[in-house]
Amino acid sequence: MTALRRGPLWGFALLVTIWIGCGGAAPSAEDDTTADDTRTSGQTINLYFPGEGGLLYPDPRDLTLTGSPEERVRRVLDALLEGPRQESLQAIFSRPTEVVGVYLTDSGLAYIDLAPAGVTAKAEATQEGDGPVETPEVETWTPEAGSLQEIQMAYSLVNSVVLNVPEVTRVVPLWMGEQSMTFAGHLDTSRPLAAAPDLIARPKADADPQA
Amino acid sequence: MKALAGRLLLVCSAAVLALSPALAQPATSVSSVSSVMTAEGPLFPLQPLVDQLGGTLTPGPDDQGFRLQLDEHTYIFGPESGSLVVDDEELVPLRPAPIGGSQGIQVPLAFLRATFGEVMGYRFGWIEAESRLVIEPRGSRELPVLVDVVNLQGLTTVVLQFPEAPRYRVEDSLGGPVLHLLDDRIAPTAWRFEDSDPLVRNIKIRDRRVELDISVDASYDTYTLESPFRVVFDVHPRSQRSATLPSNDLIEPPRPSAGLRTIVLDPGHGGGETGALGPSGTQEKDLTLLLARALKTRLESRLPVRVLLTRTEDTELAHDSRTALANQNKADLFISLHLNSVAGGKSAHGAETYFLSLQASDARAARSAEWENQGADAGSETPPPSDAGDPLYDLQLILWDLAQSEHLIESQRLAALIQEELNGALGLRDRGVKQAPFRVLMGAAMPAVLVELGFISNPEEERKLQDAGYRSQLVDAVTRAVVRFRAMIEGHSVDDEATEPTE
Ligand SMILES: [Zn+2]
Repeated sequence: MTALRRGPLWGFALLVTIWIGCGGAAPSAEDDTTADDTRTSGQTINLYFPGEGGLLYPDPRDLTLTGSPEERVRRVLDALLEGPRQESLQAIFSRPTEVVGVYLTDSGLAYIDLAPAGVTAKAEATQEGDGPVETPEVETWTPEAGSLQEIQMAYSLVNSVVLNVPEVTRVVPLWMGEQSMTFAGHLDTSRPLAAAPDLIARPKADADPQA
Repeated sequence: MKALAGRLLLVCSAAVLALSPALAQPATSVSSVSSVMTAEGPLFPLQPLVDQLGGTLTPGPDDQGFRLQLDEHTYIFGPESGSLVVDDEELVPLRPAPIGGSQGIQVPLAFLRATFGEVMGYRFGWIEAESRLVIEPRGSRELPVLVDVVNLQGLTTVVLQFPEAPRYRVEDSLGGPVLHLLDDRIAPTAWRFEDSDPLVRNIKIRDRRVELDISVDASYDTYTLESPFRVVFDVHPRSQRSATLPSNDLIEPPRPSAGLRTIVLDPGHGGGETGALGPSGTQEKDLTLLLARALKTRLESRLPVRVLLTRTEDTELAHDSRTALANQNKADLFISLHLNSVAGGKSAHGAETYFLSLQASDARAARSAEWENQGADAGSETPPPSDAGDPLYDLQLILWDLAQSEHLIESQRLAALIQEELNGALGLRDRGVKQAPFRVLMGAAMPAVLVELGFISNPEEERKLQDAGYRSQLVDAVTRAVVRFRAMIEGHSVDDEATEPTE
């Protein structure tokens, strides 16, 4: 069951990678907005990162979200996986992680394929080479987290994508091309996840009007 | 039988056994069968039913079992027996078992479905409103549908149960959702919707359709459950984003259960799946194993129960295997032990106890939201969000087979007891009983909870959890909760048990 569509997804992931032109080091969001001033100016969006109290906190970015929904999802995810800018917030994963592919169905279901950084390159070498291929050794790992942290992990991704890309209503996370039953052993991520705005921390003024 | 007698709720004196008109057998033969309604559904005397099907039922040679001759096959089974022998060679697990008694052998509906339905090739339907049993051989193009309507916490759940998964399509009409069977027809039924429900105004069954007439202010989610196959409509007020059970608000007393004999403890994680990591490198998987072993010893010393662990070593184990082990061993309780972590919150501390989220499907809520967004135009022909073409649809169907759904109330009650004991014993901050779609709880066919015994991401709690004395306090607290839970479901006082742990 876990190997669901692995082959096709890897193939698709590669296709997307080549098509979007994001293979290798993905350009950072900042690079994009400064590199081409003739584009429409960036819009400020919120990415949602884990923070205190098991909640998610908005971390604003000036990102240019143009192109297809898949491209926009990709851009959001790339920025998210770069990590938070506010010191009080945490990276989603404890180790470098990258987007392998994004696939969006007509019904708004986004498959986001994530992997430890470097695994994509290995997969490309394996898939594209003729005959024996030298594949670099890449350390694969799976996320470690208690249940609350895992909930933060999953919904950091889901909220950031769904709340910023209107075409996406649900997210199916994949890990190294496979549909993950859970990220870290608790939350069921085998089904599409919708945004959970309740996990987003309210501004302090709202939370405590007396303060 | 004694336990059963206490659970009889209602005697249906004139329940009717009817063969569907689609049957090859005489469709006109209708006979009265005095079924007995129990908390677990109707019980039927087997003899008249066998007569109706043209079989013979004779007591076995030693009066211990029964021999059923039907359609050129022989089936042997006995009261309280766990298996059925087919043609003297094939052994089929039998659950639930038939019940012996002075008036002959009595069988629950689930028995009929499992034996006559799955083994002997008949379809069974129980038309509750008429106390009517519909039987037809497989191969008939008519499917009986059982309708159940429940309103809880402002959410109306309509369950359409079929003896097997039909091909069907759900469409939206102006009045509400309509389920169309694509191949089969629905067995003729005089079922009438008589409930007064704030959200569902009517349910009509005709030909190949089941039509739900829902309030204009209502919307719905639909999903399926397996074993038995059910199509479920959750109808809720449009303004209600999602329907969750309030965590600390018990809905109704737990259903009586047979007792507590087998407990499966699940030490979370293992092998390559470490779970949470403490600041000094403590791995959740190691502590959960220590805790589970200690809890097993403590429970077995306190109660006459058998305690099994899903893993006894540092081995990786699929989540589904954990509950499968519990199901296979007919466990009465499943407790998954974990230690928590939170990103960026080194100060987070305390225990949390979870039971499975009923709406475990975020997907359902999303589909509902999607539908509301798409179909907001009045009179729109937009169909409700369909999973057709969704490559995960089949997988979802499997995952939505939440065997746990029948045990949510008891799970919630157990979770509350565990949380209460942990808070009281350790003076821990009450983080409360919660619900979440945790993978390891899905598929458990018994009350099941996941206990987070503390935060190893908190350096202070990590240090305490490394101490065997502290762990022992946690184990004692969970043991007390299980003792109370056992007393509750077995209907006796906790005082009947020794209240102090026996060391
Ligand atoms: Zn855990």
